[in-house]
Amino acid sequence: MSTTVLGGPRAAAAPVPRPARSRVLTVVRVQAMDAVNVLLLPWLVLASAFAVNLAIWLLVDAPDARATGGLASLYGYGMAMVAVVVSRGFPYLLGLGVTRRAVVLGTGLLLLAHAAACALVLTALWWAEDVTDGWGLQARFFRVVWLTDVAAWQLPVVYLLPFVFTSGIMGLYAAVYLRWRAVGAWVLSVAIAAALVVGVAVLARTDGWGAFGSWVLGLGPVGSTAVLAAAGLVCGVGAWLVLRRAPA
Amino acid sequence: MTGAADGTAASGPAIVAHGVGRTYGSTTVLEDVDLTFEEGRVHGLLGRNGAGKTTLLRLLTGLDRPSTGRVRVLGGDPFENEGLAGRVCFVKESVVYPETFRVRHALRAAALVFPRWDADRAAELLDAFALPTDRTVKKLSRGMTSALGVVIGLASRAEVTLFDEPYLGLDATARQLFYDALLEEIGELPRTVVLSTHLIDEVDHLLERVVVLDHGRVLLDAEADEVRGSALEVVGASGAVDAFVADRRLLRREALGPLARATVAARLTADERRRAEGLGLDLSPVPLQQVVVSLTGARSADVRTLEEVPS
Repeated sequence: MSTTVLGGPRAAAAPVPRPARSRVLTVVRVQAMDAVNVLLLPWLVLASAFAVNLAIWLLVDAPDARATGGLASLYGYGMAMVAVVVSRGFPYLLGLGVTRRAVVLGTGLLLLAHAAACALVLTALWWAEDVTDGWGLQARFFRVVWLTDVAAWQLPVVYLLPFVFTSGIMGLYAAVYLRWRAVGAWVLSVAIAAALVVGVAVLARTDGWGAFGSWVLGLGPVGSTAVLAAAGLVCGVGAWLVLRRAPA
Repeated sequence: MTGAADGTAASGPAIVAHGVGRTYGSTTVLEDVDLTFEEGRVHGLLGRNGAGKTTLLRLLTGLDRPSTGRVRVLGGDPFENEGLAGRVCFVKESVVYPETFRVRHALRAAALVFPRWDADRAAELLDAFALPTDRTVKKLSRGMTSALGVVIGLASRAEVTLFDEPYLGLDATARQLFYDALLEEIGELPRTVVLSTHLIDEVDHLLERVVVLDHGRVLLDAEADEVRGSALEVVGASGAVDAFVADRRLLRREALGPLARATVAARLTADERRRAEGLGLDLSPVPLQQVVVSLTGARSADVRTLEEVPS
């Protein structure tokens, strides 16, 4: 701020650079122009999944089976959209002369805001489903078994934290793709698959499935989604490390 | 207002490259590039395809970093330089816009990034180029995409504006529109312009300084006026032409039956002109484009010394 106050002929010789904070907000605003369209698509997918489920519940008379994992489509399809927003926005904004730092921070901020908005909408839908006794059909679409069986104030949290995970991991994918293209994405996929295989093998060898299951259950919905979110944050930091020196 | 620009033009270097090299694996794209682009002037960055023009522009705009040497833009390293954001505008040959962007989104983004953005100018130019603001960028034709880049480059009013072959797909009328608008813009608000182009004849009148890249090296870095006067074409009977150009640096020679046409790097004295007349030779100045073609067409080692031609 002091630079603008000091003024004088020297300051007048060059435009006063905007503070970094506003650069980050610029990135949020530019990315949001694309995101309002891109990040809306998963909701359309979710709406159609909901409609299909609703039709099935109406047609099939089996009140016990009226629970579904259709909500996962929002998160799953959302992952692809995160990849689009990051991989397109990064080179575009760099081309406009914005720093990598501002692009990564701004995009992260936008994704977080989007996740928070989604979590609030989902919480509202949870209430609507609860109040209408499962849309009059005792159905559970937004009230995911176990995951959303939590105290009311925890609902936005358990909806939000998985978004942190999906955004983080897809942000990392997009970053790796931007820097090393398809080869990088392939290597990352292989590495993740290998880690999963090793994990599964260890659990199988040590008969650890039971212990693992009770650990997750012991963490509870908030604790286990928090673990996922932490992994997402690690991926997000990884994305920054990949992009901070990346050419565009 | 702001700006290096309000009339207090040409004060110092806006862009400096010092010993800049860039290699990708075993491929050397730029080698030992030294150059200076002065504030408030229009520079032509010329050279054949693959000469390294785009790579150089990417280094100057911080999209990539040099393997060796260093670049300075408005006094700072362009890589991750927060202070340069909004002061430098790079109009790339091909920009990938965000997935769902329409023309108006691209303009709004530019307005957010460039503090000196001139919305009226942008509207005027959009109109002149007949660009539909509601069309998605993906669906624009090649020429329209180029026009959008040109509009953003001019309306950004950035202190340093770099165009990388901005005319792809633009017809002759649209290109003329661009050149006229550029001339008008720098007249109103002088700024440092770097124009990478193949269409040298078309921009000849705009260029104040010329840098020719060839195989990643600076082949020529000179005032455009000097370059324009640095070579001439001699046409006449083969024997007379050869006699006249014998001790001069020949850039190019073509035989047309009994006639010959030679391009030589030379400035003639009045005496020499009279001698040429006596030999029945026609002398004509060589346009900038011809000089560059002669330079970059020949084996570069043979012609490297053009810059040393005494004026």
